[in-house]
Amino acid sequence: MSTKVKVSDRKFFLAIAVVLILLVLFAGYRTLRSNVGVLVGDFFYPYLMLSRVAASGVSQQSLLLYSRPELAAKLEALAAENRELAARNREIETLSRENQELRKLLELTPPAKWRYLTVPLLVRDPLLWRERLVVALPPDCGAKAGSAVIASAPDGTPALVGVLSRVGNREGDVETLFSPSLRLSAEMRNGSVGFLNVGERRPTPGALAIGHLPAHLKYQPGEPVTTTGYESGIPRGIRIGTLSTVEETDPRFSSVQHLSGLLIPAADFNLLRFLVLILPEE
Amino acid sequence: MKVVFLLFVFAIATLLEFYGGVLMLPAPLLALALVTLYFSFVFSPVTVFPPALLAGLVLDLGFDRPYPFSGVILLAALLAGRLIRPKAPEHLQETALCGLGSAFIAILGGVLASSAMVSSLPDPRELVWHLLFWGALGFAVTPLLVLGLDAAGRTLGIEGAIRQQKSTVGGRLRPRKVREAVKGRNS
Repeated sequence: MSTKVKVSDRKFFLAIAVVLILLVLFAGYRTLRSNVGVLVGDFFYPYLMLSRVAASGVSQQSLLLYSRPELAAKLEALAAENRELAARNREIETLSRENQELRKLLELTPPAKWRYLTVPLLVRDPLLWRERLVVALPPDCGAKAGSAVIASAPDGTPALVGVLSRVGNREGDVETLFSPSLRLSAEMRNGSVGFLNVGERRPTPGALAIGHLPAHLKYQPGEPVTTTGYESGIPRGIRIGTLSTVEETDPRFSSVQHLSGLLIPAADFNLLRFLVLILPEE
Repeated sequence: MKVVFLLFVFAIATLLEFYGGVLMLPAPLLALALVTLYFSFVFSPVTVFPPALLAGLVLDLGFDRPYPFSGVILLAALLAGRLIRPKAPEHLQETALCGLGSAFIAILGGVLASSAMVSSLPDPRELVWHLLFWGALGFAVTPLLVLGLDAAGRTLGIEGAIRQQKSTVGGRLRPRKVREAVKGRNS
């Protein structure tokens, strides 16, 4: 009888141990998923690139299979496309020059010109994981506090990450969109302007608070939010994110002048490895 | 020699905290909390607190945090570890639960400090998984840390955390109890 009890006890403890181990493994996966995923991705990058390199090699070698007239026809088509692109580029250059001349005649300040500098992410503070980043800066790169910092969003388009808040000799601090002290103006699709991290709404995990939205206008969830260009170091039109929710009021029965809402940033803050600084051209 | 050993290990733990940020591992103060717990077994909690406070301050300065929360969190983590086992451990396994308590409080304290600094509440579901994982890691790593640091300390002539280790066979097994038949019961 006692032997049976001992065996059942052992099985019971074994089952509990297995459940505990599985639970810890799952917790580890949930905790480390995004960060270790980047490291694992970096490790496997050369191996994953092999298939692309091989495909590219095969594609290049396959050119040998074409006959001379076929190759000549393809070359001619590409040359025609290049000519068309060059003409379009010339047209844009002319427009830009005209814009500058008109601005001079109207005595307006010339538009700001920007240059882009790619910098690696150096370190993240474990206590302020999403709110602050430290980036490595090349010496004498001309970075200034207040410059916009962007990264590639999951869909490949550039998205605002934050603003350079402190510049050292070799590194700089980036205050991200999640930092409560960062107040930025943001433009809606209807042309109205709101401000990040202000208003009555509290930020939630993964969403930012946006406030001071004019109450007489309509807002749609999912509409894009971009930078306004009002801040000196941030160009206009950079994607910040998409509007998630805006409080609804009926202007006929409410004296509220401004609305608050939530905004989901476009950049994925867990997958940041390289950032791009937007610096004014001197 | 004791002071040099203590300062050296604290410096390494502080460096590990910085490397946690470089390797993108969000485990605030885990290494420092476990090292503080270890040295509280070797010396005393009062002796170990000033270097822990100093290391926390260095970390806060290094990360340019608005408030120096790390010292308070380390004190709380140390108290949690020592409340689980106030006496010096006699076996390696006894340090595992203390490690779990310290890691748990260090991570929880870090999350609360972070929430206070950014005035937003953490995601409760993610918090549960973080606490579970880092707590389990503290549980598993603390005996190994004690083993390693005890071995390093003994080579330098410093008494370790496990001072009077009981033999597994002789000291920990209870004497066998033999039931005697009660007289007159079955007769």
